Amino acid sequence: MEVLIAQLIGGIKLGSLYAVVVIGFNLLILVTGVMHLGYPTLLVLSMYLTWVVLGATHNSLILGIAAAIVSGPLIGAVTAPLFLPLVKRRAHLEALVVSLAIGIICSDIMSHWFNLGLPIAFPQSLQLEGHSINFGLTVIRMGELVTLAVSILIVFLFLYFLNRTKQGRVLRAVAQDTEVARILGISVPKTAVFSFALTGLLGGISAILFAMSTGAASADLGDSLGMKCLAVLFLASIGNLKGGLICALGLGIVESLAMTYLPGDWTNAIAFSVIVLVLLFKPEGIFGEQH
Amino acid sequence: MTLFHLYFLQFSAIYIILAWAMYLPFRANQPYFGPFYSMALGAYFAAYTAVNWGWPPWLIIICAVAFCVLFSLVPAFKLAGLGGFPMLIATLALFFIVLTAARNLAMFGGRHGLFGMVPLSNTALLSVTYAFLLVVGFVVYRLDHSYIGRALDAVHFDKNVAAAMGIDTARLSVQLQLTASAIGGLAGVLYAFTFAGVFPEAFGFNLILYGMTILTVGGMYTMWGSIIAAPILWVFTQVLPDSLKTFGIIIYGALLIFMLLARPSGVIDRGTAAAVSRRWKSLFKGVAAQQG
Repeated sequence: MEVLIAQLIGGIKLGSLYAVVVIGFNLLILVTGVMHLGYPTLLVLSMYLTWVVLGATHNSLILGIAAAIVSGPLIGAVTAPLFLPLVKRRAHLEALVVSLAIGIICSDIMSHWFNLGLPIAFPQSLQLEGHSINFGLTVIRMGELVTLAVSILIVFLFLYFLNRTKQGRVLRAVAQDTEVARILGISVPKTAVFSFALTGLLGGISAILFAMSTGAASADLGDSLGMKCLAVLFLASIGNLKGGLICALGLGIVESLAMTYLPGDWTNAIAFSVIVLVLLFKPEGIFGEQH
Repeated sequence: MTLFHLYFLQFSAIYIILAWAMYLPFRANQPYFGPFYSMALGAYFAAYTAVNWGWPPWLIIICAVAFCVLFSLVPAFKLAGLGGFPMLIATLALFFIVLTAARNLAMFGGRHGLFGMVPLSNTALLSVTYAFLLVVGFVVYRLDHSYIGRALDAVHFDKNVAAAMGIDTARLSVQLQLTASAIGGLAGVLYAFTFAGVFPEAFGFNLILYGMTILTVGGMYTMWGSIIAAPILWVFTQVLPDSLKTFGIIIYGALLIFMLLARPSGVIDRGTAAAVSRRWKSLFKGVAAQQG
C-alpha cells in the first residue's frame, strides 16, 4: 500500500510536469497554429545549458536555475523567426516539419558536443538530496515534492494570467480568431513572438523541474517526452487546456505504475499506442474543443 | 567496384524509392509518414524471414510488401478522413511503436539488430534494386499522368472542391497510403539486402530527416527532384572532411529549414519540370525533322 501511494505521488508529480509542457504546446498551437514537435527537445537543451552553468559555477543553484529560466525564452525567441513567415502564410504543416528539424538538430548537438554524448547527471544538491520524507518504508525526496508544488503553482499562475490579465486576453483573442483580433488592433506578429517567448519560459521552468525531479538527462529525452505530450494533447483534444491538465496527470500516474511492471522502453510504447488509438478511433479527443 | 561506389548506387536508388513513396501522399497535401515505418517493417521482415526461415529473396520481397500493406490497412481507412496534423502524428507514433518493438524484442536482435542474411552478389543486388527503381518510377509516373494524378492535383488545391467534383477523396487517400506503404516496404527490403541484415539505429529520427530533406530539396510536387536530390545529398555527407562529418545532421536540418522557408516547392518544381519536358520534346522533334 505504501509503495502504491508513493507511486501515485510520483505519478502526480510526473503528470504535473507533463501538464506544464502540454500548456506550452497548446499555447503555441492556439495562438500561432504551430505544433512545435521540437519544443520538448528545446526544453532538454535548456537542461543541458543548466548543467553547463552548474558545472562552470561549482554547482551554484541560483545561477543554474537562472540559466534554465533565461535560456528557455531566449531559445524560444531565437527560433521564433523561423516560424513566423510560415505562420504568416498559414503553412502549418511546413512549420511542423521545421519544428521537427529544429528538434533533430538540437538533439544532434546535445548528443555530440555535451559530455561526450553521454547522459548528464545533475548535482544532488539540485535535487535537494538529504531532505526527504519517510513514509513507512518509502522515502519521498524533497526535490520531488518541490517539483510537484511548483508545477501545480505554475499551472495555476498560467491559468490566472490567461484569464485575468490584459495580455492573457490578447492571447486568447488571437487564439479565438486571428482576423478579428487584427481588426481590433492587436498586433498578431508581436503576439506570436510573445507566445514563443512565453512557451520558452514555460520550457525553461520545466527544464529545471525535470532536472530536480529526474536528476539526469540524455539527448533523446526530448523524443519520448514529445511523444508523451502529444499523446496527452490528442487525448484531451488539441487546444483544450483543462482537458490537457487532467490527461497529463492521468498519463503520469499510468506511466508511474507501468514503470513498476514493464521494462523501461515499453512505457514509451504506451504513449505511442494512446496516440494511435485516439487518432484512429476518437480523433476529436475525450474533452472536445474548448470554448 | 569499390564499396563506396556500391553504396552510392544502392543508397541513391533506395532513397529515391523512399522519396517517391512519400511523394504520392505529399502531393495531395497528406503528410503521411507511413513509408518510414513501412521501410523499417520491410527491412525487419526481410531479415527475420531470411535468417530464421531461409526464404529466397523473391518470396521475401513479395511477402514483405504485402505485410506492409496489411499493416497499414486499418490505419489507412481511419486516417483517410482526418486532416494533416492527425495523419502525421499518428504515422509518426506508429513509426515509434515499430522502432520500440524492434529495439526490445529479442527475436529481432534488440539493439544489436538482426544479421546473417545470405548476401547477394554486387551485380545481383544492383540489378534487383535498379529493376525495382524502374518499376516504381514507372508506376509513379503512370499514376501522375492518369486520372489519379489529376485527382491528386484537385485535392492538393482544394479538397472540398475536389469532393464536390465527384472525387472520392477518402478512397483516394486510402489508395495513396497503401501504395506509399508498399513502396516504403520495398525500400526497406532492399536496405536489408544491402547490409545483409538490419539494425534499429538505421530507422531513427535521422531517417525521417534524410527522407524529408530529399523530398523538400528535390521538389515536393514532382517525382523528378528526388532523382537528383538523393544521390547528391548522399555523396555530400560522404565527401565531407572528417572534421565536418559530425555536422551532417545539422547541415541536413538547416537545408530542410532553409528550403521550407525560401523555396517550399523545392529545386525542381512543376514549372521547371514542364520547361525541361518541353525542351526535350522540341529537341526530339528537331532531330526527327532533320532525319526525316
